[in-house]
Amino acid sequence: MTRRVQITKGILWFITGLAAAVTIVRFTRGLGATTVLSDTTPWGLWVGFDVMGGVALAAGGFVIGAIAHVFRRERYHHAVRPAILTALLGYAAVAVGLLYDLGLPWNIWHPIVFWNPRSPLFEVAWCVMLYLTVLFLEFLPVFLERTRFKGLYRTLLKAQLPLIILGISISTLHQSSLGTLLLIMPFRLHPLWYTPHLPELFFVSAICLGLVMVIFESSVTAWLYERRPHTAMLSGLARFAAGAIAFYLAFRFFDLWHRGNLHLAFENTFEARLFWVEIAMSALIPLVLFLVPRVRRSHTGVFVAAALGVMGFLLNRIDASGLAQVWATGTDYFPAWTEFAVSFGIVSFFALIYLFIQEHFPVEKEIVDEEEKWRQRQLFVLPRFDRLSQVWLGDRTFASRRVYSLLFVVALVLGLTLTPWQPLVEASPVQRARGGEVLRVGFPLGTVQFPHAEHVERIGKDRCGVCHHLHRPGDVGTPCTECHADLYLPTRIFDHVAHVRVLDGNRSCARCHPAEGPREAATAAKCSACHEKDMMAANEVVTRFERTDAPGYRESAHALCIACHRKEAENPDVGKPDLFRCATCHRGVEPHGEAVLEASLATAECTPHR
Amino acid sequence: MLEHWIALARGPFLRLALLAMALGLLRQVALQVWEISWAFHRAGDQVVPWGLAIRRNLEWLLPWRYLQRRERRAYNFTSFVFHVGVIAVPVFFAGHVAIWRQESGIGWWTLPPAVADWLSVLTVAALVGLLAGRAANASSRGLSRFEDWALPVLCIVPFVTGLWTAHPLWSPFDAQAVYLVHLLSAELLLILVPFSKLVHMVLFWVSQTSTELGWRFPPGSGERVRLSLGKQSEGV
Amino acid sequence: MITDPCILNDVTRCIGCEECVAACKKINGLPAEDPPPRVGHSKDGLSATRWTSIFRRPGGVNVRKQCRHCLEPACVSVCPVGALQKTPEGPVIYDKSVCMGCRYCMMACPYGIPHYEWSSVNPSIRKCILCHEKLKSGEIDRPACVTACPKEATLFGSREAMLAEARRRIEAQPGKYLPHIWGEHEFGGTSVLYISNVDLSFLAWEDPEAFENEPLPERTWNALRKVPYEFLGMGAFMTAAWWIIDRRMRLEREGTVPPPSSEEKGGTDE
Repeated sequence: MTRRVQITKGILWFITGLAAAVTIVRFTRGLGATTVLSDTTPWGLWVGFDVMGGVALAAGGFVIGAIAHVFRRERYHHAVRPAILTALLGYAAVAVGLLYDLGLPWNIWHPIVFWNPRSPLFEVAWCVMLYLTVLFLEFLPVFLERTRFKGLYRTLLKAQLPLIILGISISTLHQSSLGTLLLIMPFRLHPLWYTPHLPELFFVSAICLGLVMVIFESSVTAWLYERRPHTAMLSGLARFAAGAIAFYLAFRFFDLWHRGNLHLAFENTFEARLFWVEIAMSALIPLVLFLVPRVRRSHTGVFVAAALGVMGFLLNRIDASGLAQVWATGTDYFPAWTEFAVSFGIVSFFALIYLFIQEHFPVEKEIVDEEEKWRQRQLFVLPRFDRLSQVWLGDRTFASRRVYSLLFVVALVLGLTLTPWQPLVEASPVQRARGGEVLRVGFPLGTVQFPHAEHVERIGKDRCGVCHHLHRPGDVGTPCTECHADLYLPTRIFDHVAHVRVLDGNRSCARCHPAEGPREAATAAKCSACHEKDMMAANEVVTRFERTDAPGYRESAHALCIACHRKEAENPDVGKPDLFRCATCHRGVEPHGEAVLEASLATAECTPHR
Repeated sequence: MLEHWIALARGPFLRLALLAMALGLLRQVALQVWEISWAFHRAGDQVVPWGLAIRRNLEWLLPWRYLQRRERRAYNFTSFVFHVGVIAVPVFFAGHVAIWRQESGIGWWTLPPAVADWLSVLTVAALVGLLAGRAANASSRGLSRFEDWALPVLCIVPFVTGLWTAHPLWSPFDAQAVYLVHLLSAELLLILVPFSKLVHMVLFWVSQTSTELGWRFPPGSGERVRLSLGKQSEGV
Repeated sequence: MITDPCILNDVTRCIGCEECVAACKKINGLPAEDPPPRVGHSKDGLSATRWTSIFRRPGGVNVRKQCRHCLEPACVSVCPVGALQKTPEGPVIYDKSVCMGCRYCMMACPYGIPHYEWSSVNPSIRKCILCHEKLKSGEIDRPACVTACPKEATLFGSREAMLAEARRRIEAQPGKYLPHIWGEHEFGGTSVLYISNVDLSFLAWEDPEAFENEPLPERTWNALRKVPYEFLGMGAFMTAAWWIIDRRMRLEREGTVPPPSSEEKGGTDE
C-alpha cells in the first residue's frame, strides 16, 4: 500500500462519513430535509449524477468487452477486468443512489412485478437488473480464480463470450433508453439538448464516456499504485475515443443544424454558454488532445484529456436531466450540500470497494501480488503500543485503520451536526401594509384585501386592541408585521440582551428567573408579569402576552380574522353571510376584482363552507 | 453579543460535542475489540479464559480493592472522590437533567442542589489534590506526559464555572461570560474524551483483559519476535 | 356515471371565490391549511394539499387549475410500475401501494400537475382524481368542485357535450371569447376544457401549440417499440463480428491466409 493509496483512502472515508450522516437524516426525515428538490424541480443531482451519470460512467464495461473479446484486440485484455469491475460497482452504485432518490425505496423491486412496458424507466429498470446479473457473472471468475471452485470457474470462463455479447445488447438498450426517458418532456428540455435522436445520442456519448472513463481509471490506478501505465493500451484507447468523440460531435451538430436550432447556440443565453462549456469539456478539447500523437503518448496528456472528457460527459447528463430545464420551469436549482455529500459519498464508498477488490483479488495481477507482498512484510514490522489504551496489540495495518475510522467518525459527527433536520421552507417576509388599506401577502394568492376603514367603523374606534393587541412601549397601533414578520415561520420577539441592559445587568436575573434551578426560558416569568399594562391589550385570541415567539402571519391572521368573520356571518342582524368565505379577503385588487367582489357578495347562492 | 454565542454553545456545539463523544467512544470500543480479536488470531490461541477476565475486571472496578492498596493511600482515596464527583455532578445535577428533559423528554433522579454544590467543591479540591500528588511524587512526575497535567486543569474549569453559574453572586465575573466558558469548556472536554486518556471511561477493561489474556504466546512465537526484531543471529 | 367525464371551465365566469378549492379539500380529506411552501413551489398555487387552485392572472382573470385528465396522459405512460392509471371511465388515478416514488410523472406532465409530499418519509404523489371513486359508486353525480361553483364557471358532462357547449358559447358571444377551446387537441386532447377571453397557453410549461398536438407518449413509444429489434440486432451483429474475426484469426494461425503487413493500425503509436 503506497502513501498515495493511504491518503486517497482517507479522503474517501471522510466523504463516506459525511454521506453516512446525510443517510440517517434522509431515511428518518425524508427528501424534504436533505434535498432542495421541489414540485417544479422533481429531479436533481441524485438523478442527473447518480443515475444518468452513473450508468453512462459504467459503459466502459461493455465497450472494452466488445473491443477485446468480440473484435479480438488482445492488447486491451488488461483493461477488461478493471472495466468490468468498474461497471459492476457502477451499476451497484446506481442502485444504491436510486434508494436515496426514490420516495418509497422499499418498493424498488416493484418493476419486477408491476409492468408498464410503455415506460422508458421500466425498460431501464429491467435492463439495469439484468445487466447487474450479467456483470456479476462476468466478474465472478475473478473471485473464484484462487479458490477451489474450479469447475464453476471454468464454466464461467467458457460462458464469457456469450455473456459479454448479452451485456453489449442490454447496454445498447438502456444506455439509449436513458435518452428516451427525456423524449417525453420537449416542454422542459431546452432545444439545444432536445432532439428526437436523444436515444442515439445517449448511446454514442455513453460509448465515448465509457472509453474516456477506462483511460481515466487506468491512469489513476497506475498513479495510485505507482506502476507504469500500459502506454500502448492507453494510446490505442485514446484513438478509439477520438473516433467516437468525433462521431458524437458530428452527430450532435448535424442534428442541431438539421432541426434549425444551431443559431440557439450563438445567442447570449445561459443555455448557450452551458452548451459550449459542455461541448468543449466533453468533446472539443479531448478530441483535439487525443488527435495529437505527442499527447497520446504522454501519460499526463492522456490523463488530462480523459479527465476532461469524463467531467464533460457527466455534465451532459446533468444538463439534460436538470440544468437545461431551468429555462422552462423558471426555478433555480442548485443542489444542497447534503445532495453533493450523498452523490460523492456513494462514489467514494464504491471506490473504496474497488480498491479493496483490487488489493485482494486478481483484477490486475501486478497490484494484487504487490499488495500480497506488502501484507506479508507487515507481519514482520515492529508492533507499537497503542497510545490510549497502552496495550501492545496490532501491527502497522492498524495505524491506517485508526486514521480511516477517525476520519469517518469526524465526518459523521460534522454531517449530523450540520444537516438541517427540518424540511426547507420558503421564508416569505410579509410586506408592511401602506396606508392601512391593503395588506400585501405572498403565496398563493398574491394579495389579501383588508379595508381598514370599514373595520374601524364596524368594530369601533375605541377597540383597536382587538387586532393591535400588543404595542411596543410608547407606540400605539403597532403593525402586525412588527412581530408576525414572516408569512409562515414564527418570529422571535423577545430581546434578552435589551432586557438585561435596561434592567441593570446581571443583578436583575432574579426578576424573571427563579433563584434555584436552571435559568431557562421555560421556567422564566411570563412577559405579562411585567408588561400587563404597558404592552398588553387582550383580544379573543391572544388573552395574555406570554410567548417569546410570534407565530407566522398566516396562522395568526387566520386565527384572529376567521373567528370574528364567522361570528358576524352567522349574525342575522349583520346580514352578510358571505363574510365567512375565503374569497372575502383573498382576491385580486384590480378594479375588475372590485366589481367581481360586489357581484359575488350579491349572489344569493353563496354558502359559507367549513 | 454573548447571547448568540451561548445559543450556539447550547445548541449545535452541544450536539456536536455529545455526538463526537458518543461516536468517538463507539469507534474506540469497536477498534479495540477488533484489535484484540486480531491479536488472538495472530497468537493462534484457542482457549480464552473469559471467566477469569470478567472476574478480574469486576474486581478492579469495585473501589475497595483499589483503596486497600498499601502505597499512596491518600492519592488513591482522592482519586476515588474525584471519580464519584466527576460522574455524579454532570449526570445528576438538576439543571442538566432539566435540559435533557426539555430536549429529549427523558429525565431521571437528581441530586439535591446543596449536595451537588458540595460535591462540586469536593471534586475541585480532589483535582487540585491529584495534581499536587502527581507533582510531589518523583516517579509520577517522570511518567507524566503533557495531557496528564492539562486534562485535570481543564477538568477544573467546568466545575468552577458551573458553581458560579448556579450561584452568580459568588462569581467575580460577568454571569453570561461564565456560563459561556462553562459550556465551551465542558464541550471541549466531551470532544477530547475519545482522543485522550479519558477514553478509559469505556476502555478500562482493555488493559486488564489484555494483561490476563493477551500474553499467551503459541509455540514458536519467540522465533517470530526474533525475526521481527531483526536479530536472527541471537538465540531466543 | 357517464362514460367520458369532462369538465368545461369558462374563465370569463370565474369570480375566484375558491368554493371549488374548499369543496375539493373537503371531499378528499385534505387539510384546510396548506403547510408552508417549499423553495421552488408551483407558482399556480397547486400543492400536495391543494389539488385545484385559482391561478390569478393580471387583469382580474381567474383560471382554475387542476389535473387535465389527458386522453393520452404522459404521466400514465411513463410510470414504470403503472401506479398511475387511466381508468376505462376516463379519470387518471393513483395507486400508492404500487408507486415507488421516482417522480417521473412530475417530470413528464406538461401542465405540472402531480405534486409531492416532500416533508414526508412515506410520500405520495397527490393530484386531482376527478372524484373517481365517489362518481363511480354513484355517491355523487358530479365532481365536488363543479357542485360547489356558484357561478357555473365550471361544468360537468360527457366530453362531446362539453365540446358542444363550448362551441355554442363561443358562437353565441364571439366578442367575449377567443375562438379556441383549450384542451380540445393539445397533446392529444384533455378531459378538462377551457374557454376564455385571454390566451391560456400559460397553463402548460410551454405553449402546447408548439408541439403540433402530438400526444406525448407517442414520442417515447416511437423509440421504445424498436427495443426488441435493437436487442436482437446488436446481439446478431456482435456474434457475426466475432465469428468472422475469430475465423480469420484461426485461418491466419493455420497459415491459410497471410497475416496483414502491420498487425493493427494502432501499431504506429507504440
